[in-house]
Amino acid sequence: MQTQPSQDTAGMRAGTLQQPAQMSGAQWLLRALEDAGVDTVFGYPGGAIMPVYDALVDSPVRHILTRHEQGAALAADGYARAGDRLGVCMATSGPGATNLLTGIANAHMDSIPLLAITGQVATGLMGTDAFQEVDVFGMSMPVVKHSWVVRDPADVYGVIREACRVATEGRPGPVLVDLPKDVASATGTARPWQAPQKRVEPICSQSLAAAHGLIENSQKPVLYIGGGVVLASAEEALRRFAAATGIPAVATLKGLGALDTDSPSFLGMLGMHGNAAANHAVQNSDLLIVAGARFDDRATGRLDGFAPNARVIHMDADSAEIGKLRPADVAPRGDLSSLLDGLSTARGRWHSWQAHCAQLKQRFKPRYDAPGTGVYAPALLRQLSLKAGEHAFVSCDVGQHQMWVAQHWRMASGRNHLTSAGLGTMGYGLPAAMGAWLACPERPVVCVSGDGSIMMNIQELATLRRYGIPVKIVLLDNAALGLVRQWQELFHAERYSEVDLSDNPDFTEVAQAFGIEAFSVSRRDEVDAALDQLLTAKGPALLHVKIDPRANVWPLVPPGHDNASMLGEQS
Amino acid sequence: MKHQLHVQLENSEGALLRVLGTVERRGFAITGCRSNANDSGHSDLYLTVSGARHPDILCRQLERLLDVKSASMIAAPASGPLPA
Repeated sequence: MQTQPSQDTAGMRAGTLQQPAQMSGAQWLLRALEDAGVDTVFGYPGGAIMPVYDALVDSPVRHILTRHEQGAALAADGYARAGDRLGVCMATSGPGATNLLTGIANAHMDSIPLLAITGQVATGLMGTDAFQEVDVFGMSMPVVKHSWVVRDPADVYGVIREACRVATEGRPGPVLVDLPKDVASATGTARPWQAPQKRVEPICSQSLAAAHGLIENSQKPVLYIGGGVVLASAEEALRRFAAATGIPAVATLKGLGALDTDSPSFLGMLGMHGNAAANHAVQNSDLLIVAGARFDDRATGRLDGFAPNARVIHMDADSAEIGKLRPADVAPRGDLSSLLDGLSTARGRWHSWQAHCAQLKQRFKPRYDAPGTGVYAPALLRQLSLKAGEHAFVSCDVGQHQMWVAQHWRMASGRNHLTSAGLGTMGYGLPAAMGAWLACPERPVVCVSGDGSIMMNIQELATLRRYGIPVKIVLLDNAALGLVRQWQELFHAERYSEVDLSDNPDFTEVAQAFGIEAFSVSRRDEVDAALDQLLTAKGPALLHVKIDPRANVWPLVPPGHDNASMLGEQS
Repeated sequence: MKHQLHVQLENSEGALLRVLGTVERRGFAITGCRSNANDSGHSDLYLTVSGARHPDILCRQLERLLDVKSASMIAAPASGPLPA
């Protein structure tokens, strides 16, 4: 293992603290954030974290007040994804801390760099069941990369700097710092903090050569792209590899856009709601070149039937992912861009395979000519993505609309697509969209939601209004929990159980009550003008779209089946 | 199937909980546990675990934890207690 001098990471400044002054723990916290390059935090005040909010009055760090702590955590997640930097959220002890947990778990499942700061009751009260005391350090342990309880104001600065470093280095992830109220209030001189030497793993030339050989000897290779490519900033190298080799490519939900979804060699998303061309290619391949993916069950279907004749080259920043679910024949370690560049000279006799995959792509390309006059959601989303442009962010909630976005949105970059992939958090879309715009205010942000998901964090419409965040919301309303309804239809003999939402409120009136421009469409011939009206609205706006409650997401791999067993209109 | 693990970890707050929680969450039952703290601020943790998954993956998952210096499988003693 080689080392190199510590460098800026996600805007963090390395080096020791040059500040001998006596300050409170809360002031040290904010100073540490500032020195780490953090200029925005999302949060909600309360009793135990009041010293931090008091210090915030004199700090240059911008605070965004959400209307629920979960909104703060998910907004910080969207901020991190869109801005390629650390997201920070904070809340008070007890319910404030527990409300952050879903957002922390969301960041954990998708490897997002997130720092959660929680107030805690005073150290003397910890362990006494004090008012608003909860052991968030213990509760969050399964869903954080690391966590700290700070017990001395002199340690606050160093712990926060270290937390920022840990969250962003290597495989990113969430970290948590629990700060008791007395520690935040007491003054002290910060202990010096020095960023440790950064570890750089050398490329193993032997395993790289072995991978190179596997590619050249393969007949039916497939490039399998995961979200790790985006996290490792390896999109450019991936595109060089794809262009140089022409190997047919598929992506996971989080890997979408790492290779432009309009690329000739891109077949689509694989897995449960993947494109049939992508699934057929993977199932018939003899070599999977896996870049930054972890063989998630939604991507593989039944694991023992997944790509049954394929050998595997598995490249991932996290060695614990190698062999976790699917054994690797070769697992080259090291910087992903360097590995991909090293493999891009491989050449093989793949012409007939490439032609076959091109035929699959043509055969299974999406159709947007559904019968009827009602709004066809896939067509609307495709049209919206083209109108919004390749620089637009799209943030999704969870459900049918999320899968339609994955299938039909044109994605020119992996960072453009904000989706709760691992945890599947309904309520993610709106706060994440807010965070994305605050990270990149020069770029358009669209939030695609459903009538189930939007209600999970609808209070954040107030945050949009408060800060004038011009997120454009498309609310696809099928008056049901659509994906659950679809499963009950297909796998539970149409025994519909608690999926009817036909008593939804009037969403345009709700939005207007928050001061958000809103309008509604229900016919296909209204869509084009409505999308233009939405995208040209000056501030935040909501387009409510009534869609057919019977619409399903196709194709679908039934649970427990392999990816060759797709149900659907075009599988 | 039973396995013996040796985990070297820092004596920091929550370190032991983190290790034990990871072992259980990753599908192994802990049937034996002994920890010896040494003077250098570290502990040697000896675990007997049982589970159907491969313990090599578990060791790599443990080594992701910041508190853990190393995690490895060790030869199972023929009988008797874990190493002291």
